[in-house]
Amino acid sequence: MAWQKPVTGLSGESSDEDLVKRIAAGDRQAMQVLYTRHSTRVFRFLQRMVRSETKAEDLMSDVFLDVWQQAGRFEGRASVTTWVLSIARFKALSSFRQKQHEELDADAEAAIEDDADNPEIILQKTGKANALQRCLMELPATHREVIDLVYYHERSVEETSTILGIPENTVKTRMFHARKRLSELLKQAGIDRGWP
Amino acid sequence: MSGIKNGHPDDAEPSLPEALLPWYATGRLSPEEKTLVENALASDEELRRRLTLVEEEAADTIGLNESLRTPPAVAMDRLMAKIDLYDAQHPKRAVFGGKAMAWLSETLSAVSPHTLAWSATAAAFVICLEAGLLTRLIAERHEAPGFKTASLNTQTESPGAYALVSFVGTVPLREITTFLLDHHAVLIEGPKPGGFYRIKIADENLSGDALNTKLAAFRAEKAIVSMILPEAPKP
Repeated sequence: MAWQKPVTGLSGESSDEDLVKRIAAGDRQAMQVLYTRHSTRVFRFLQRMVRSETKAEDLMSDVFLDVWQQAGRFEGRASVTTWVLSIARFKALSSFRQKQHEELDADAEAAIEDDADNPEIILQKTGKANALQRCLMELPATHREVIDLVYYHERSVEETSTILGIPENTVKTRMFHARKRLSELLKQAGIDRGWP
Repeated sequence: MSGIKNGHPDDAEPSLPEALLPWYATGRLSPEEKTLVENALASDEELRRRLTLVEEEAADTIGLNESLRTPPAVAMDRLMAKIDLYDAQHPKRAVFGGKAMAWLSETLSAVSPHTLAWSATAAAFVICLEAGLLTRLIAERHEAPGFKTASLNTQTESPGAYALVSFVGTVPLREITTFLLDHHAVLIEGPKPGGFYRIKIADENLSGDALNTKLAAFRAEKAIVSMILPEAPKP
């Protein structure tokens, strides 16, 4: 699956929470272990949000610097993964604001999609086998992130709600509408899944 | 869109079992919610078909994300360089204070007043002893002023060319880190009085034109470097 399992490090297999405690005490080795464990997921999450590897790398570095700085304040209310992904999302949104782009709301979606191929071209380019993945790439940002968090990052409703800062019921309906939008894109590309 | 398809409303808000299908597929439901979905699936063929769509979507989302690059190996070095710089600028991380106070409070509340009185006398003695030790420690440090970073070990300092640099005040950490990496420079120590940092600019001793060329390259970064001064090579 998507996640790297906890790696052996320090004195045996430390939990993420233990690592964060050690980081709060200034333990650099713990920082390296936590980074090794989570950097790929954070990097990919950021790549999907900002659509730039270079930008994602810069932001990822900021995310883990925040972890270093804020570890002492981590209270364990959410899992470390959820906490780190929340920081990553905040950093990505802040970078959009810095560039005077709009936030990842409905108004920004059109702009983000402008450089995208339309579904017919997607199908011509990729064939049916990859059409679903291509349509996943063309989803609006708000739909992309909820789909990634649920399917790839395997976040629960509650965890997704924490990361996105929205109520749990909104998470469920947003996911539903994201899936529906995906089906509509596929339909435009000539693939009718019989729903919606 | 509206209407009914296979017994399900096309465009209405989803029923709870349908809304929960993605989390059912990823195994992230509570036992109660899982039972709710399974009961609905048992009696609803269209819902079972939609579950297969969800599973397809999940598989492709994973495939798409797994096709993305992993972070470059150098990214961790950059991060640790940033952390070095951050710690150099924020040398004190009061991390034990809260826990120590909690432990002290808990311990003291458990002892009797009589024991506490004797403990206080002993503590006063320890404080006097510590004061003496601290005075000696401060005196020793006074002989060798300056803040030590984690990476600094003056006794085993490697040969090379060193310089004192001050940065333009508004430059963010990220740019300073990139600047150091670009010039193959390493932060050694700082901040020192006047806002200077000691950096290593080359792995070998430099002098004459080689040193001037190197310093000129640093000085050319006017947006980042406000001043750089070469450090005399150690004998």
